[in-house]
Amino acid sequence: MKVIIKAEKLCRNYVIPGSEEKKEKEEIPVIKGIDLEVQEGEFVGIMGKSGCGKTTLIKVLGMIDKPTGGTVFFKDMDTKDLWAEELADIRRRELGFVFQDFYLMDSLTIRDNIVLPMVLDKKKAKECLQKGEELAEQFGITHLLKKHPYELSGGEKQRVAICRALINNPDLILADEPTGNLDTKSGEIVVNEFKRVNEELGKTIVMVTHDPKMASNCKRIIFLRDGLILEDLNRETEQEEFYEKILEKMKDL
Amino acid sequence: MSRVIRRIYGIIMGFVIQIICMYRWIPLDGKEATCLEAFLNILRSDNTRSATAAIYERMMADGGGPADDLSVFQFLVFTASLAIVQILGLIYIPFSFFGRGLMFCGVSGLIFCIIPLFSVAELMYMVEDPLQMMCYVGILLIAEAAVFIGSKLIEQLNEASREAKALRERDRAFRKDRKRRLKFKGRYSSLFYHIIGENCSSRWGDYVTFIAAGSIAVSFVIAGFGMWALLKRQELNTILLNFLALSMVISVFLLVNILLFYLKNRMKGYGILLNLGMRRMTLRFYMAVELICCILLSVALGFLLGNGLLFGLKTLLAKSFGVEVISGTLTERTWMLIFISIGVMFVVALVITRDNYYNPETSGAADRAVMAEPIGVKYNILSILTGSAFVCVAIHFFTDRKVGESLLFPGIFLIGCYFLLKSLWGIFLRCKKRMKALSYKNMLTDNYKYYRFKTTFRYMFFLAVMHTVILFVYAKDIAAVATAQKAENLFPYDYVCIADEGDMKEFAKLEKKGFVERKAYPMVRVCSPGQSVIFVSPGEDLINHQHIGVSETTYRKMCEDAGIKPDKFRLSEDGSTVHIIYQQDSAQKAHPINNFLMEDNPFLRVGQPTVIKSGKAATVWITSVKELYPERIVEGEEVSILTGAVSQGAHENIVVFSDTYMEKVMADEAKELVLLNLTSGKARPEVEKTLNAFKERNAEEESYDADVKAYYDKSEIVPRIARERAMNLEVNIFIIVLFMITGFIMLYMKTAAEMEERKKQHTYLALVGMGPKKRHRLIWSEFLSFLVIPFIISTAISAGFLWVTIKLRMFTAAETAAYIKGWGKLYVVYVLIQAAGMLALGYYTVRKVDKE
Ligand SMILES: Nc1ncnc2c1ncn2[C@@H]1O[C@H](COP(=O)(O)OP(=O)(O)OP(=O)(O)O)[C@@H](O)[C@H]1O
Ligand SMILES: [Mg+2]
Repeated sequence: MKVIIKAEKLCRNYVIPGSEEKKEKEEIPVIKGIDLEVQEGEFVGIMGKSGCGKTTLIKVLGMIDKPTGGTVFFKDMDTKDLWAEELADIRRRELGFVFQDFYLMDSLTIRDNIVLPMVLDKKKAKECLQKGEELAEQFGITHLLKKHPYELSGGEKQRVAICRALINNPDLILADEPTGNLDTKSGEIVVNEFKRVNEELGKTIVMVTHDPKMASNCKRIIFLRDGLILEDLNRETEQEEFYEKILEKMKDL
Repeated sequence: MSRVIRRIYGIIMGFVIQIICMYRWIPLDGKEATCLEAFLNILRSDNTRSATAAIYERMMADGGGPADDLSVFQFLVFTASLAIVQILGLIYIPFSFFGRGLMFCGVSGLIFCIIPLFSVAELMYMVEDPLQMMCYVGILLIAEAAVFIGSKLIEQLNEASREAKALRERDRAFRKDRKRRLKFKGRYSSLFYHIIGENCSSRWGDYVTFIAAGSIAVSFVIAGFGMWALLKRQELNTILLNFLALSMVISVFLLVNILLFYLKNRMKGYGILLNLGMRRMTLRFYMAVELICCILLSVALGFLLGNGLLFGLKTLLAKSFGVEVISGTLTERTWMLIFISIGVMFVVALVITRDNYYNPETSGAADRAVMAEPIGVKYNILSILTGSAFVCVAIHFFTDRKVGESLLFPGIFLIGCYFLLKSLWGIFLRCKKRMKALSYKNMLTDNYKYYRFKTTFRYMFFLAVMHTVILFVYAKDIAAVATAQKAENLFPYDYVCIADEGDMKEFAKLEKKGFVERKAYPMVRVCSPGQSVIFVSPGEDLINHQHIGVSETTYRKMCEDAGIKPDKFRLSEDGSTVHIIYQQDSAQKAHPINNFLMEDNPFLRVGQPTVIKSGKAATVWITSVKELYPERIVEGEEVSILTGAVSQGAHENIVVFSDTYMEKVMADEAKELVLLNLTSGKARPEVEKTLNAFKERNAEEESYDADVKAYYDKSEIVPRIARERAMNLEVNIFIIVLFMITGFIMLYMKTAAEMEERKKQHTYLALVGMGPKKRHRLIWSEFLSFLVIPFIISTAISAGFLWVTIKLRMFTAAETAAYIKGWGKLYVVYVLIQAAGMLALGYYTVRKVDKE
C-alpha cells in the first residue's frame, strides 16, 4: 500500500488583524500539529464539532491552503517544493474537491461548471461533454444542466459540486460535508457513489461529515477536537456495529 | 580553451625567460658570458673557490682587493640560483607544451629568483656596475612573477569556467526538469474558450462601467491638455494649468476606483478557476487580455470623447469671441504628451491597486471582496501631527498677500485635511463603537461605515475635495467676475502717460488746442524685483516690475481729484516706509507688490529697471539685488483706482513716499504722470498722433518689459478685459460641468459596486422582519450622509478660503456683499444639482433592492 497523503506536525493559524482592544495582530491556532497518513484506496471520514477545524484541515490537505507549520506530502512529494503551476496540475488531475460552500461559478451553466476541470485539462470538448452527461445522469441532475447555479437548491448545488470533483477521475477525493444539504436518500446516492469509486476504481476518499450514518460507510474515522486528533478509528466490524461505535465516540467530542 | 591558453602562455613565458637569461654580462676569460656559462665554468674548474673568486673579482669596482670568503660564497649562490632559473626555464618549455607543471615551475622559478636578491643586497656595494646587476635580477624576477601570477590566474580562469559550466549544466538540467514537470501539452478545446467567453459576458455591466469611466478619465486628460494647448493666453494659463493638474489627479482617482470595482467583481471567479487547477499563467494571461482590452477600448473611446469635448469648447469659444482666441494648435508633441500622461496614469493606477490582482490567492480570494476593512490604528498621532502641520503652513502662507493667492496652498491644505480627517474619522468611529449602547442603536446605519472604513472615507473625502475645488477654485472666480466693477469704471482717464519734463510742451499744446483735459503729477519710477513668481531662482536674470512713485502731497491731491477719501498715514523721511495703492479690480487675484524670495517686506528701487545679470553665485546675487533694491516697510495698503487699472495690479501700482524723501529722489529721477481725457471723440486722431510721437521718443521706457508702456490707452484695454472676463467665465463653467459629471459617475460606480452586497443585506433585513419603510430609510440615510458630510466639510473649507480671499483683495463692504451673494447663488445651484443626483441614485438603489 502506498501512502497518498501524509501530514507531519501540521499547523494552521489564522491571523486576526489588530482591533481597537488589542492593537497587535492576533494568531489563532486552528490546527495544532496533526500527524496523519492516508493510504491509497482508503475511505476516511473526518468528524468533529463545528468549528473544530475540519474544513481547515481538509483544505490544507488538498493544497488549497498553505500550512503555517509542518509539512504535507502528496505521493511522497513535499508540497512545499512544488511550484504553483505543479500544484495547479495536481489539483486539476489528481484531486477532486467538494467545497462546503460549493464554489460554483455563477456566470456559467451547470454543465459548464461540471466539465470545467476537464476543460482546463485541455481535454476534447466532446469527451468532456459526454463525461459530464454521464455523471449528471448518475446523480440525477440531467434536467438542471442548462440552468445557472443561483437557480438551484442547496442539495442540487451539492450534487453539481460532487460531479465536478469526480469528472477528472482523480486519485484523491476530498469532500467537505458532501451530504450536508441532502435528504437521506440523496445522501445515500452520494455515499454509495463514493463507495463504488473507492472500491471498484480504488480511489482514495477523505470526507468530512457530521452524519454518523454516512460516516459508518467509511473504513476509517478520524475524530478531531481542538485542532488535534482525538481518535483514529478503524473499521474492523460490520457497518451497524461501527455505527454504534461512532455514536459512542461522538459523545466525547 | 583554458588549456590552450595555458600552453601558449607557458611556452611564451619560457622563451622570454630564456631570452633574459641569454644576456651576457658576467666577465669570463676576457669576454662576457651568461650566468649559466659562468656557473658551468665554475663547476668545471678544480677549485670552486678560486674560480668563483676570479670571476667575482673581475666584476668588482677598481681597487676592490681580493674578495672575502662571504662575498665569494654569496656570488656563488647568486650565479648558481640564476643558472638554476635558466635550467628550470628550459625544462619549463616542454612541460608547458604538454600542459603540465606550470605551477611547479612558476613557484620554483620564483624562489630561485628571490634567493639571489639576498646576495645582491650585499654585492651591490662591491661590484662596478650594481645597476646592471639589479636590473638583470629585477627583470628576471618580474618575468618569473608573471609566470607565477599568470599560472595562478589561468588556473582560476579554468576553475571559474569549470564552475560556470557546471552551473550551466545545472541550469539546463533544471530547465529540462522544469519543462518535464510543467509539461502541459495539447490545446484548449473550443469549450474552454466558450467558458472563458461566457464568464466574461456574464459581467458585461462591469466592462461597460469600466470602459465608460475609463474613457471619461482619458477624455479628461485630453480635454485638459487640449485646452491648455489651444488657449495659451496669459490670463487663462493659470486656470488651465490648474485644471490640467486637477484633471490628472481626478483621472487617477477615477481609474483606481474603476480598477478596484472591476477586480472586486472578477476576483471570485478567478479564485474558483485557480482552485479547480487552472494554470496561474493561463489565468494571468486572460486577466491581462481582459484588462488590456478594456484599457485600450477606454483609451479609444476617451480619445473620441476628449476630442468631442475639445471641439465643443472650441466652437463655443470661437462663437462667442471669434476664431482668433484659439491661439494655439494641438501639435504632435502635445499628443505625445497626452498619450504619455495617459500611460503614466494607467500605470500609477495599476501600481496602486497591484495587491488586488498580482496574486489572487487560491484560498480567500473570494473572501477578499467581502472582508472587513480595518479601521487604521497605527500612525494616528503621526498622521494628526502631519495633517495639522500641513494645514497650518497652508493657512499661514495663503493668508499672506505675498504668495498672490497661489493655489498651491489650498492644495497643501487639502492634503493636510486628508491625514487629519482620516485619523479623526477613525478615532470618532472607534469611540462611537466603544460606547456600545449607541452603537447597537445605530448598528444598521453605522455598520457600513465600520465595515467599509477605507472605501467610505475615500469616497467622502473625494466628494469633499471635489466640492471644495468647485466651490472655491471655480465658483469663486465666477462670482468674482460676475460681480466685478464694469471694465469702463476701472479707467477714470482715457490716456495714462509716463512722461519726461521735455514732453510736457506737447501735452500742453494738445490742451491748448482743446483736444484734451490734462492733469499732471510729479512722479518717479519705482521698480521691484520679480513679482508674480513665488520663487525667483537665483542665477536667472531679474524681472523688474515697474510702479509709480509719488509724494504724500501728490497722493492727497490725486485722491482729491479722483473724489476718493485718502488714507491717513505717517511716512518716514528717509523713505524706508511706504504706502501702497494696488490698482486692480475685484476679479483679479490679489497681486503682491513683490515677493522676492518670499520676504515679508517689498524691495523697491527708485529709478529705471536694472538688469542684474545671471551667472553669479546665489548668495552674491541675492546680496547685490538687496543692495540695489532697498527694503521698505509697508505702512498701509489699499485697493483703489487713482489713475486706472492699466496693468491689473501687475505693474503701475502707486507707491507713496514721504515728501522729504521724494524731494531728494526727484532731483535725479523726476518724471511726470500725465492723465488725459478726450474732450470729444473727434479729437482722438490728433491726440494719437502726438502720443505716437511721444511713444517713439520714449522707446527706452518700453524696452524693459512688454507689459510696461509709455502710455496706456483705455479704449484698447477695456475690451480686452471684458473679453478676458467672459472667457474666464465660460472656461470655468465648462470645467465645473466636467467635474460634476465625474463626481456623478464616481458615485454611480460606487452604488453599482455595492449593489449585490446591499441586495443581500436587504433580503436579510427583510427576513429578520424589518419593514420596507424602515429599510428604505436605511438606504436614504446612507445616501444622505454621502451628501451632507462632504458638503459640511467642503462648505467650511471653501467659506474659510473665500473669506481669506475677500480680505486679501480688500473688498469694500458693498463688494463683499455682492460677491458673497453671487457665490451663494452658485452654491445653492450646485447643492441642488448634487442633491438631485444623489436623489436619483437613491431611487435607483431602492428600486433595484426592492426588485429582489
Ligand atoms: N478565514 C478565517 N479567518 C479567521 N478564522 C477562521 C477563518 N476560517 C476559519 N476560521 C476559524 O477557524 C476555526 C475552524 O474553522 P473550520 O472552518 O475549519 O471549522 P469546521 O470544523 O469546518 O466547522 P464546520 O463543521 O462548522 O464547517 C473556526 O473557529 C473559525 O472561526
Ligand atoms: Mg467546515
